[in-house]
Parts: sequence; C-alpha cells; structure tokens
Amino acid sequence: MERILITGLSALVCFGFISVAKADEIIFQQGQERIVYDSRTSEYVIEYIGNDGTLKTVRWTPATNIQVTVRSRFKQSGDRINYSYAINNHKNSLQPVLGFRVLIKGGIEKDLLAPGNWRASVVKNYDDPTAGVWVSWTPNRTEYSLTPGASLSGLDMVSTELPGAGMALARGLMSVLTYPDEGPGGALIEFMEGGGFLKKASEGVSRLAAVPRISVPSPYDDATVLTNIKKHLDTDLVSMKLVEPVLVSDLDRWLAAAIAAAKSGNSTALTADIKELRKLLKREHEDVDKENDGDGKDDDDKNKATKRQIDKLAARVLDFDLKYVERRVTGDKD
Amino acid sequence: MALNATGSALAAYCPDPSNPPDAKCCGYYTSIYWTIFDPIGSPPHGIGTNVAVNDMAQCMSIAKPYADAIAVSPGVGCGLPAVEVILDPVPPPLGSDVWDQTAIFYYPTPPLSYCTGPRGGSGIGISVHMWWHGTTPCTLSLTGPGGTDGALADVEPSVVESSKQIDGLRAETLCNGVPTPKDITLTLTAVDNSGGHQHVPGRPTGNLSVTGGTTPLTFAYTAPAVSGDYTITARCSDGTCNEATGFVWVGIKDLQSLQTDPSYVLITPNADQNHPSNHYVTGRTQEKIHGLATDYHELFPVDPLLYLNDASLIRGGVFDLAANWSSQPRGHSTHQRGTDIDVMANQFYHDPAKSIPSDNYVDLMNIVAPENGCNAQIHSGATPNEHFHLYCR
Repeated sequence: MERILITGLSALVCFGFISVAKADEIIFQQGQERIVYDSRTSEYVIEYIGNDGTLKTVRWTPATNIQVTVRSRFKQSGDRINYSYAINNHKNSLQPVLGFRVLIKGGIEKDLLAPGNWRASVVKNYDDPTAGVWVSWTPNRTEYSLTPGASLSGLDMVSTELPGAGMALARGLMSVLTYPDEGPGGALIEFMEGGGFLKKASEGVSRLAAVPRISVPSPYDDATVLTNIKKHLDTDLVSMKLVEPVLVSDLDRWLAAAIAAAKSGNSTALTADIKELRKLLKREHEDVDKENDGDGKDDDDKNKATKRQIDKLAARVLDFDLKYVERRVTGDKD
Repeated sequence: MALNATGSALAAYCPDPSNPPDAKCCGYYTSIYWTIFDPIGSPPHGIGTNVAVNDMAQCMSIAKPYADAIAVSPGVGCGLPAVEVILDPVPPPLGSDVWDQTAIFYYPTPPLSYCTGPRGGSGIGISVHMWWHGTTPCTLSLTGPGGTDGALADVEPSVVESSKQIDGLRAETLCNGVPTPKDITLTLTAVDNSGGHQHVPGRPTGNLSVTGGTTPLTFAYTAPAVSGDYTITARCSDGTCNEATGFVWVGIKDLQSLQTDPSYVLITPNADQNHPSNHYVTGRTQEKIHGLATDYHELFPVDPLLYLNDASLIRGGVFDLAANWSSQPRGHSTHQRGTDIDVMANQFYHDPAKSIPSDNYVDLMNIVAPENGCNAQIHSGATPNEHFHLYCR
C-alpha cells in the first residue's frame, strides 16, 4: 500500500512508492500529539490533546490503500482522438476504488462516457487552475465502487488533442474520519489541513496515463503540431523523468529537422525525419507502434536487458503523435 | 471669575498644562495681543499690548483683569461682555494638532455672540487675540505600508506556530519642517466590536516592537490571533508634539458571507450572540461548498439539504465560542481562515429534517467531498453535538 511520508514538520509529502512495512512510522509529532502510520493495518493513528485536556486516539483509513493498474487506450477517429481508460483494482488491495481522474491540461474534452452506475464529470483543478482541469469518474454511490480483484473499463472521452503523458489519480474508500470532540488544534491540525496531509491522503494514488495534451491547430499545420510535440517532450516528459537526457537530445535534433522541413514545405524530408524519430522510439520499445496496446508495461519486450531510455507510455504517445503527422503528410487516412 | 468659567472650557483642551503631554496645547503661543474695541465702529481701538507668554494659562491670567473690568461694569457697552480667544491663524485640526476649532471662550456664560464679533452689536466686548507667533509646533505623524480603509497596514491574525508581523511602521516628528528626534511613546488598544466579535473584556491587542531609528522611529506590529482593528497612539514624551493615531487592520482578506443558495440552508440567526455573523468564507471555499451541496442534493434528492452552521467570522481569526479570545476549550480552531464550515448531521441527535442522515456519511466523505476539493470529518462523534466538519481550502 502507498502511504504518505512527511519529513519533520515541513509537510513535504511524497507519493509514488510502495512502502516497506515498518511498524509505527511517525508521520508527525509535536509533544504528545502525533500521527503514526500503522503498517499492520495501513491506517493512520492520530493522537491529539482533546478539548478536555486528555489524549485522544483516532484511527483513520486513507484513500491510498489500493493497488491499481491503469490502462490507457487512444485511437484516431477522423479529426478526433478517442481516449479510453480501464482500471484494475488488484486483488490484494485493501479498499474498493471509487474515484479515478485524469488531468487535462489544454484540451476541450467532449463526449464523456462512464460505465453503468458511474458518472463522469469535469472538475475544476483548484490547486492550480493553470494546469488544466480534472476529468473525473466516480460511482453514483459507494456501493458501486470497484472492489479488489475487479476491473472497470468504459471510462471514455473524446478530444481534438493528440495524446501526451499525464497524471491520473485513483482513490480508495476512506473510513469516515471521526473525532469524539472538536478534533485536533494547534500545530497538528495545521499540519493536517494547511500542510496538505489530509488532501494528499484523500486524493489517492497517482498513475501515469495518456491524456489529451498536444493541440492540433485549425487549419492544420504540420510545423505547429511538431513544435507542440517537441514542447511536450522537452517540458512535461523531462520534468516527469520519463525520458533520459541522451534520448531527449536525439529526439530534439530530429524534431528540429522535421519542423524545419515542415516549414519549408519539404514533405519528403519531413517524412524521412519522422521515420527516424519513430525508429528511435521503436529501438527502445519494440511494439511501441501497436495501437490499442495496454498501459505501457514492458511486457512486449521483457527480454530486453538494457535499461529503457524512455517510459513506454511516453514512447507510445510520441509515436502515435508522430504517426498522426506522418499520415497527414502522406495523405494516409488509415 | 469669568476666566474660571472659561478656564473650565479651556480645560477641555488643556486638562493639565503642567503635565507634559498636555502642555503642548498651550506651549507655543508666544505672544498675546488683546484689544477692547467698539463692536459698532472699526477698526478696534487698539488698546492693548503684546505680551510674551509661555502657555495658555499665563495668557488667560493676563486677559483676566480686562475681562473682570468689563464684568464688574455690566451695562457698559453691550452689558454682556465676553472674553473671546481667537487663534489666528487657525491651528491644524484635531488629530494633527490639539485644537479642533478656533477657540472662543465667552464671559461670563456662553453663548454671547452679541459681542463676540467686532460688528456684532452696540456694546463693548473684549477680545483676547491669540496670535500664532514664533516657533511652529512639532508635528508627529504615524505612517505605514498602507492598508484597508485607511489602515496603517494590513496583517493576518497570528496562528499557532506562525506569528504574523508587519514591519515598516514609522513615527516621525518634524519641528519647523525638519525631522527631529523625540522620545516617543507608543500605545496599543483594540477597537471594541471589531472583527466580528460582539464582546469586549480581555481582548488581546498584539504587540509593538521598536525595530530602529529615531527620525523616524521604526517599529513592527505583531498581530494577535483575534482579527479586528487595533489603534496605535503615538505621543512625544516632552509634550511638544500633537498626538498621532492610526490603526492596523488585522484579518484574512477577501472573505465573503456565504450567499443564499438553493442547494443548502444557512442556519440563521446564529445562536452565539457574541458572533452574530458566522458564515464568512473565501471565494474558493464558497465555490466548493456550492458544488458540494449541489452534488449532495443530486445524490440524495429526498434527503434534507445541507444545513450550514459556523464557518468563519468576517475577517477570520480566532472564533472563540467561549468568548475568551481562544479556540480552547471549545474548539473551532480551524474556523480561522474561511476554509472550514460545520454542517448539521445525524438525524438521531438533531432535527431529522435538517440533518445529514448517518447513512449518507460514507458517500459524503468519499464521493461528494473529494470531488469538490473538500475533506470531510465528523466532529463530536456520538454526542449530541455531532456534526460534519468540511475543510474546503
């Protein structure tokens, strides 16, 4: 299970790793008041001085006690891209899943679809509105949540934007955090609320997903799309540490050449450059060009001993985007 | 005799001329010119003299014999003699100096406008004209970075582990237009009923601390945990300056009272009369609560709407249920920033028509609240005060 690790009082919250079971890890402490992660039960134990001056103890199950796999599919349909997500709640999960969301940075999402007894909605990203909005899927009631061992597909949307690599969050079923009195005060509640502990523990676990990210101008323009792809590579993929610098350098060089060719109207050079780019990606992941592949796990070429220089999902979205441009250049509508 | 009466009027301006803080009222009138004039004729007769004086009391003692002379001769002139003190030129207004108007002290009893002007009637009056000669009084001023409603500065209330302090406050004395070092005394008082607290005794004021300098004196203000207005008063220890005042605005900016909304009900009036306005939140929290209440109603359309109780006070800060300027012992420690609000819950403890049914707790906690950027908790669980506490930062 994943849990929040916070160093000292600085509210540094980290995600993305599976904890090694350690009994009674202290997340916060000041005087008698503290939060302890109980790895035996995957709960947080909150100890605080109550309104009557005595020490109170409350146990709380956060939304992070899940092991989920997210599969992203994306397929071109005319001038739109169909995105489809499937989530699997591992049988070893301690909780049902009752929330899944992806962060859409710039695209105007359309045609949100949800499986039965679930619903889809666009949720404002209050933390950073400039980072886009959340497209969120939740069950209509907790009774329709995704139980451990079950999978759910049909979390779909349509966008005019090409895919990029982005963040998804899956949320497990929390217990109702109940205090016998007015709850903690002082530094402890500052840590929990202002310090982000509650928020992080409630929003679930993060996963990588393919999301609408590369805008396509209208009227269509090869150079602009390639420039947007390059920007996604140089900023998002690099900051997410999904690609090694040496490969970024190689890809950038060919992307720059392709952009120059597109601007000069040299379609022969442009298609040649794109082929070189796709070759670089295929060298890392042999089946990168297979559409409707899974979530990017390296199950295609698991015998390859060398370390990948790019995450597979990142490679898949780049290859898809490059293939999209290639088709537009060659007129291949397939 | 007359001047006893006028002396008491004067006392309103100069309660104790010997006391340095008050001596400034009179200490800079360095000469006197008085005249007896015919109110019909003009110009004044010019009977009089210029006399150097040190304070108003001396000035009046000089004037007194002339006033007495008229007083003992009623019927002479207008028969209603007066002593008129005119400050010329008119001093600065109260707040920047001691006089709030041209001071006119009548003899024997006011009002006797009949003789107070040179053309007011047929009698004879006495005027003691106070000429403004010589040294210009020192002016003391308070300045700061500026703030809401003319405040010297704005600062957030101090919270646990984080004292809020504003620097850059200054007290400056100018004598004859020149910055002049003075010993300055600073005092701090709370403005009653400010910040949404309709209770007074024991209110903390925060602290002032000198950070350096004399011309100007620079100082800092550390806010209390209680929002409101806090007045700073500056005085020169030697009484040679005016008294200067300003205030610091302590609070959380841009809180707004929750709007009426078809998706929730505001519980009004607030039972806590010490804090009658209890529904203040940030704009973002307002938006989240609207979304949350709307989603909740959509999910549970036959159940009661959300009944919203305490959020924050008009400027946030300590929401002291016990009217003791502290969150303890009764809680509400998180109701200080406009991000938290209580919702009536549990149909077994409260009116079922106004409460979140306990069967809905899990869905509210896991679907409705997170989807709207809020965290939900139960406070005072399994007690008659059980309620949902929403944190929607």
